[in-house]
Amino acid sequence: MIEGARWRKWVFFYVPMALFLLFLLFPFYWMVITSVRPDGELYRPWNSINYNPFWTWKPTWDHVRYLFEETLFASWLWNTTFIALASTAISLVCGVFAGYALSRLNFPFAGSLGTGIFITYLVPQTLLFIPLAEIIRNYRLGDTPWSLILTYPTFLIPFCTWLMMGYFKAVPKELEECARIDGASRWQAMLYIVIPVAIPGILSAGIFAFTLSWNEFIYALVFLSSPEQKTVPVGVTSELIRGDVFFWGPLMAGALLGSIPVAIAYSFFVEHYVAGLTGSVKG
Amino acid sequence: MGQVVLKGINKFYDSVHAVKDVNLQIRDKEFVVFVGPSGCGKTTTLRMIAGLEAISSGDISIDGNVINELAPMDRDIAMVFQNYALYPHMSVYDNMAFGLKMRKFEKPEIDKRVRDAADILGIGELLKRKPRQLSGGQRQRVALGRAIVRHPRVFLFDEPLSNLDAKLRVQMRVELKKLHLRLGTTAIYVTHDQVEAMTLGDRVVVMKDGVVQQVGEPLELYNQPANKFVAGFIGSPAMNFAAVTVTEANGSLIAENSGLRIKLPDETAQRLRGHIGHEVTLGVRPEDLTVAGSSRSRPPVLRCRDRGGRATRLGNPARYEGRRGCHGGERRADRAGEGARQAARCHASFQASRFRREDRGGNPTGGALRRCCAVAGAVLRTAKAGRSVPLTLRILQEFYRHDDGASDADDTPNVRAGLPGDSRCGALANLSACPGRLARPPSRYPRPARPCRSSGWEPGSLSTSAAMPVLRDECASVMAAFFEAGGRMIDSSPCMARRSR
Repeated sequence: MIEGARWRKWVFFYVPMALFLLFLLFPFYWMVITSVRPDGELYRPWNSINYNPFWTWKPTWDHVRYLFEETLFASWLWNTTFIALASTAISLVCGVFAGYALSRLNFPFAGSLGTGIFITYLVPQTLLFIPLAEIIRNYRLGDTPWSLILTYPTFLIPFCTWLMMGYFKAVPKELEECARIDGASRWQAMLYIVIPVAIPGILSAGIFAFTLSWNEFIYALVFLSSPEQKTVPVGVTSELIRGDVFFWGPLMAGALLGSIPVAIAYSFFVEHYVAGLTGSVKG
Repeated sequence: MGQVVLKGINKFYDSVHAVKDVNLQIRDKEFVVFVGPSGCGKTTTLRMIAGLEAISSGDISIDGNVINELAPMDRDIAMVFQNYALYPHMSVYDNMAFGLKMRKFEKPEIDKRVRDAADILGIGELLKRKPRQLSGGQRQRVALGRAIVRHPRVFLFDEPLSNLDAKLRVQMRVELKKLHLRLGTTAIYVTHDQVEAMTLGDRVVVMKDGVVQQVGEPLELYNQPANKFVAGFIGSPAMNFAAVTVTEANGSLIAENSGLRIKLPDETAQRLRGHIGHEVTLGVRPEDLTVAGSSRSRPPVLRCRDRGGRATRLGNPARYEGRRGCHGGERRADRAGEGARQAARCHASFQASRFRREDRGGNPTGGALRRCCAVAGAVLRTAKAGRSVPLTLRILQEFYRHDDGASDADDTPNVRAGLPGDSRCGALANLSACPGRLARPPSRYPRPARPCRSSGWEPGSLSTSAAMPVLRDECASVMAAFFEAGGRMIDSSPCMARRSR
């Protein structure tokens, strides 16, 4: 806490905090205000008389309605949800097992394997999509949700594995040893003891994975082509920017609606999520 | 049944040889304690018995069956860990029931066993709680409960009390012992605390650097340590060691170094006859140092009172602990039987700063006490430097000192080890010492050295602190000496004097 005179608190706490909040929240505010402004206001030139970019007196639902009635936004939302959930589930299962194995089973090269997995995560997707596109084409998965469900784990699994490795390492080894002396096999000890204890870690890995696949853009852009298969980020940008015409209202409404599920996921798990990041298991 | 046999057990971690050829036979219903400094391999040995560490070579068998390759779950053992290892997501009940559920016990049987164990340990009220809602002592009990519901053949304890506070630790120690007597299950207990080892164990295994130094009953270790390491490790305060050279004069053997000269009693002399001219380490238990002049009829009186304030502060406020005869009047030396002697032994904790000398009327004085306090010269710094004090000491152990460079190694064998008969020499040698200089830590209490005026001994016979590190734990030795001389402690309550069993 900041001690001393009152002005110190203002200068060192409230003012920086306010600036920080302004900086972070302004894009969201901009998104919200743009998505409810009528077109007449949106396309008004900046030197006209009543130009006011930060506020509107005539909010409208037109853009949202346009989004759902004139575009395939609803199916984009559904696609994104389905793809994100499926790839998150796959990655979590693999990540939990791999993380457990790498942190607990002493097999040769466990350490270098862990590092190797992490390095694959560092390979940029902008390079990886080229060979992946070839694979997708060969397996005839192009333009189906499976092209994404199966490719997202390429970066999600290393991520989850790495996160879970760290988390499993923080779970006291004695818990598992005790369970094994108590009569549990290694598998049972993991199932009944280690995984329940690691739930906060699993949840935070899940949220991260979900967010990453929800926001993913490049693979979705490359592997999906027909409008009804697209995900929200790709759909919004490809269908609402036609040529050099930006449909700002629906664009922003789409961005807003697309970010809401992630925000809900975060706030729902926030307690576990924070516990997962600080990672403490006290016996 | 629960007989555990370790045959030639070795453990290697890559190039580190952590446990070296451990052979041990643990009888059914026995409480065996592994004790040693950290890193001595005691926990590793325990974990090998538990099946949590692979055995590099050797055999471990329980009731005659070799269990080297068995999984921990199939060994029929229960283990209590240092950090309790309670499952944090389960209630106390589920924690205790987990082992039984895994072994597919019937519901009613599980319930009965859990409640029985909870009754034994007095945690019946806590069954619904989660571990994080328990205090340290309660968690400890739950961990114990989890072990005993299974009725295993062997209990393994890995420093279970070291996370508890001092008071609770003593309490739990007693309960553990009671529990063991009640259940009669073989127990193997690892600790680095020698008090735990000595009080809990039927037999104690002292380890160092992966090697078993000695296996024996607590008093056996105390009285007949196999080597210098055991002698120095067991006993609190620790045994004093003095490096001396054995010489012969007028037909009797003399042990001396630069400030110490002791005529060795016959029994000791006989054993050391082959080492004339060689360096030997003498070991003296602190309680074997006594004030020669005081007697039963004229016991020094030490009043212990918590007066506080700087005026009455006499010494270092650090706390010391020593052993003494329970009532000053009793003399331990001539009591028959080791057991009786041990039983009557008390533990006294006190603060050196709280002692002051008083006469019988309660007036501060030197008087009768002076002699006793003079022994304490180093501690009770009021004793006048230059006045000499006769000391009596009994030599308990002698250790050879090899001249080949490996001189003062800890594993120097005890000359006495394995010898039959009473372990105590019982022989007395007189020393005199200059109070105020005896084992005084030189740096903390700088004081100009004065010549020593001795009584009965040649001047300088014990003249510098470097000469004999006799009072290693100064105050405790002094107190031992005090009580040995028949001193009594009056008004002991503020001193936390405590009678142990």
